[in-house]
Amino acid sequence: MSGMIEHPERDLSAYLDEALAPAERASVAAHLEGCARCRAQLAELRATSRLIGGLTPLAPGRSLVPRLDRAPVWLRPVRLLGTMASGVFVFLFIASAVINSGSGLGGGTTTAERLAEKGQFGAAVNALASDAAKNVGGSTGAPSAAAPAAQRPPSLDTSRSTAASSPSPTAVARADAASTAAVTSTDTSASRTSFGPPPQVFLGLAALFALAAFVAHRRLRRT
Amino acid sequence: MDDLERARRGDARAFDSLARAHERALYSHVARILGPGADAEDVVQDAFVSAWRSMHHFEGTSFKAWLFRIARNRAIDVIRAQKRRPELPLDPPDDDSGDPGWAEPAAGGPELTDIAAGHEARAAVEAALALVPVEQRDALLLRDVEGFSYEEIASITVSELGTVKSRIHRARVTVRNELVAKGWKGSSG
Repeated sequence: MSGMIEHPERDLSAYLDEALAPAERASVAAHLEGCARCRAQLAELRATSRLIGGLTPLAPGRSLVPRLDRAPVWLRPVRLLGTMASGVFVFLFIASAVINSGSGLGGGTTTAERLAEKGQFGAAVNALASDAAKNVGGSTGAPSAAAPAAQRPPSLDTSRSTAASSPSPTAVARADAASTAAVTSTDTSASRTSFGPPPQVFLGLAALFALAAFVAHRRLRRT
Repeated sequence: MDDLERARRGDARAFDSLARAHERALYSHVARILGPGADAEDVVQDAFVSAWRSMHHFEGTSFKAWLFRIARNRAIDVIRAQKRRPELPLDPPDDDSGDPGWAEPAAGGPELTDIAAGHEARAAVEAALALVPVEQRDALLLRDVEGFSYEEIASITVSELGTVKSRIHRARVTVRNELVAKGWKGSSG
């Protein structure tokens, strides 16, 4: 008789876990009422399940949660633009330094130009007139008309100085020409000094953008 | 807004909080599949990174189940790549030929139902679990240790519900038989 009984062994775990459909569960429950063997097996399965559930969790040897500070989406453009801007400013720095050094060391800067750069335009004019007069005097042997003028205060203008000293007409004409040249030279020198900001500004900007690009790069590498 | 919603919106701190809450359980599960050590640690870490990267795709309700699914699948991939354990078939047959049977206990020894969860018992259970085929062990641990429902386990392991039911039962019987073989007496004996 008992050999004809079909034991629901394969459903016992699901019964234990309350994972059977209601009809199946009712069927197994009814069987368990009259089957000591299945009840014993169910008890052992329950004990096994509890033993497994009571296992101590295994601990990792290190932290497994990675750093997940996701870089903002704008960080890559910042790195790219920072690098490019840094390169551009390095170029500007070099170009600016070359141009400025060229205007300062190229041999074209006279005493008048240096004075003009300092804003002492009157003195510059007088200095240039003096140079011109020296050149004229050296070539013609006439006494220098502009020399005394160069020793006067910068506020005195060239026409007055030439009138007061009563030089020869040739010397006056050449001194006037020199004055005109001095003014022109002063203008040229002033335009050179007004070429953009000083090179140090470009260098500073290049360093700033390079730093921004570097920080962005470091941040991107971490993620 | 909870951590899950914030993490889904890209909040790294919220994800970090969620990950830390599941870190040990996840490692423990993977370590019982792969064996404790660097492989299991790498799998869990990769699973976290993968979960974070696809966090915006997560639309389920159980973050834990989703995380276990990622980690578990990676662990299975590692085993398939290694293929060093032929004694533990990855996919045992689901028919009756795969049934472990119900071993009768030897005389003597403590009742299985009376075993206290002491150190010796835990070691014996760990050893018995290690002998269970991987996918059966996986399902059994998801049920008995993590408390997932059969439906959740089916989703995590991408299996049919009937397969889950079969795997859990076989795994339990195998563990029980191993314990009985070590001297514990089943109450039916």
